[in-house]
Amino acid sequence: MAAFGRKTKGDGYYQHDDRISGNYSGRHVSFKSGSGAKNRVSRQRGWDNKIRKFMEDDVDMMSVKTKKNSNVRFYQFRGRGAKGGMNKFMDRRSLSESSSSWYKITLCHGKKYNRQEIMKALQAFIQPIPFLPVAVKMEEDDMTFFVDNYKTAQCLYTANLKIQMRDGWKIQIKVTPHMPFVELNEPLKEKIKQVMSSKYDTLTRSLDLSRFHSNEEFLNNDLFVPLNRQNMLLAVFQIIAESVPNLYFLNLSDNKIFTTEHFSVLKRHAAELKSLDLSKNKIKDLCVLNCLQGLKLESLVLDDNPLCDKFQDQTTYVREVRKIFTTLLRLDGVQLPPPVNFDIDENLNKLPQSHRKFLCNESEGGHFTLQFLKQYFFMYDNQHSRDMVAEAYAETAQFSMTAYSPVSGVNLNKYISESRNLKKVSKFERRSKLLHVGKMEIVRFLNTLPKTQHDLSSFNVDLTVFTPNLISLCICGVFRETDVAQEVKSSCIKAFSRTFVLIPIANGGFNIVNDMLTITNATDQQLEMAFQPQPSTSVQVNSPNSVNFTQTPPIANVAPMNPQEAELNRKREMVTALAMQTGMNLMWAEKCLVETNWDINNAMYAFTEFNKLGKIPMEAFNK
Amino acid sequence: MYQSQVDRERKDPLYMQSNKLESSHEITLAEDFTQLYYDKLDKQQYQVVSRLYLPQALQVWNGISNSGIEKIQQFLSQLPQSTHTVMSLDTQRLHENATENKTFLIKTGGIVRFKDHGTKQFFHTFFTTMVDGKYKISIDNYRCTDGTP
Repeated sequence: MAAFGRKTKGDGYYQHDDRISGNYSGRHVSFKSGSGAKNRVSRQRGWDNKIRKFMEDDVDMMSVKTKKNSNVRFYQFRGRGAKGGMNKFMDRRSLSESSSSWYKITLCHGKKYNRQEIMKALQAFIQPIPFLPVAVKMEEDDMTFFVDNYKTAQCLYTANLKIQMRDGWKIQIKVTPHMPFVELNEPLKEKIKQVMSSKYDTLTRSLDLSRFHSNEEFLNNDLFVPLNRQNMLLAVFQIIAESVPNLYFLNLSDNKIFTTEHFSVLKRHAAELKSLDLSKNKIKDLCVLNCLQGLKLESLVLDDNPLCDKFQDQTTYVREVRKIFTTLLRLDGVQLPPPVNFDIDENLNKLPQSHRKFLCNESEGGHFTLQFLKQYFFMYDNQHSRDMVAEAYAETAQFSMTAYSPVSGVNLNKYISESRNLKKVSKFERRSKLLHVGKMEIVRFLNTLPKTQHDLSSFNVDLTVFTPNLISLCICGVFRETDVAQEVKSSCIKAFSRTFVLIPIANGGFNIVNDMLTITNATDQQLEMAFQPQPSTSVQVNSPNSVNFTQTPPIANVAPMNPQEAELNRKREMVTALAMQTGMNLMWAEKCLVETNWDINNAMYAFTEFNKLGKIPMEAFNK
Repeated sequence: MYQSQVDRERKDPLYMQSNKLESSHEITLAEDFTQLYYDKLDKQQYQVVSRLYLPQALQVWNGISNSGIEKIQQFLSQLPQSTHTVMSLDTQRLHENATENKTFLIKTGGIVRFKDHGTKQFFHTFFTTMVDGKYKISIDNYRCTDGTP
């Protein structure tokens, strides 16, 4: 009110407005809060809403009426002409409601005025409607900003050419329902983080992000941080995940949130979250909240969302909400009766816990699988060429690759163009061409694919057949392309699944005869977990950086050994590996390794070279 | 051997035609088979689904193994209702040295939604063998990954 005093001093125009607001704002506010309190107490849906609507109507009518009585010229600020019997042109002057609830206000030629002065004039004009200009900006000659509600926008809409500045100019105001895309850069992220940390209470582990965009820090810097923009909300959740994973209470009320897609981040990273306030948002339907299923919430506030109006009575409402949040004890501040649980519900619609590996033959099969994967992907991930993998394939082996992208925008083009996806490729010739037969052809093709690094710790492994005559192995996991920029995880990390069928060869080793590769984009969870050192995985493969035979310690799951024993074991493993890979017997494999100073890469290379020249005696392959 | 096959294809149009026929047969099998499988599975007609398996078939579902028709049927029937969208399909004939019976590898990928669970990606590999004039699954391997693509 101190501001009023200053304003009114020399300006009759302001004085006029201030008198009105002084008279009626108090009354208006007290009336509103009274109705709010009543709502909370009575808590009868449907009826409650009707009452609320009625009351709001009443408020508007009252303010309109009083203004009319006091002969104020802007009485038509709310288009209720028909009801009040006011003049007809008001209907034409109503503003269409924005789905995002954001409105862009443009003050034409507003640049020439002092910002504070013009804002004060606007504020004075629309009193008692709250006025919060967000992200004020000069666009050429115009001054633009955003407001976060229909009432304010509508009010400003009708104020067009009605506010006269001191120089006699009347402000031309344009109002459009609009919410721009806001780029989320690092400085903005920092600012968000800073504001969040000021809103966090360590004692109660609560974070108050209600009406987040209205924070002083953002307003003073003219930053636009609407939490109903997905990128903003996701950034906020990521900060929560990083900084306050033990969050207990989160208040997101009054942010115009309409979808909860990104709440899955919370589900994974804020396991201790027990209380969530989503009141005064724009959630239209309860099914939107399905994404939140799994959060062990005890308290939830959904008041003042469009979804609340869909329920006729309180019991249905509670029951439906509880279907999503089974652990809920309080809804909209009201204590709920204990949940009705049946035995049958426990396992219904539950997915069985998956296992990261299946080995039809634990000991021998497990050992083989591990060795095979290490060696194969070591050769496959070679950054110069994939020539080495030729050794793993039979002469008449078949290989085909398919690639697909369930969402647009993920760049899999280089795979999709060569994909033998039978759903897309219909021509016989093309289908035949994309089935690569023969080891040389396979290697030629594999060399055309981007260079990769596979994350062995991401692998899920299924060994479905392990007999002397046949081995079948399926793997799925992630890899990254090494020749593209690594900064953006989603653009270089892909998910894959691979099916190998191997048969024995004359010298005792195994060769791949069928190889089917499927490539697609990684899921958000896969991206998050990719290439992270993991303390314990069921597929005990070491972190990708150490998938190097000379450094790889003996297979995990083996108790710690003394150094000599470990060394011996390591060598023994290399011998087995080389023997399997080359088809040589153990003695010759060892010989080869000794000569190459126990470097399996060199040993492989030497073998390949000598074998080409036919310099390896037949006895090397006898077993 | 591979080379001789290529030569033969070039020289002998009849061979090529029969080859073409066989290949299109393979593909029809893969298309029809997967369509039938996911349709019945998503409609929860587990009895029909289990009939697609050989009596001693092996199923590995996300690392959980079930062998034999009864166990497979029992396992599938306790899964939440699913909706599969197959987005990629590929097939290869299992190498002739690997098996006596004609066997095809069929591999699918796509997205799946289990009731009350979010969208997941899945990969599925089948070994299908002709037995008594009908194609049956001898092994299948199913994996789905959490998180939205």
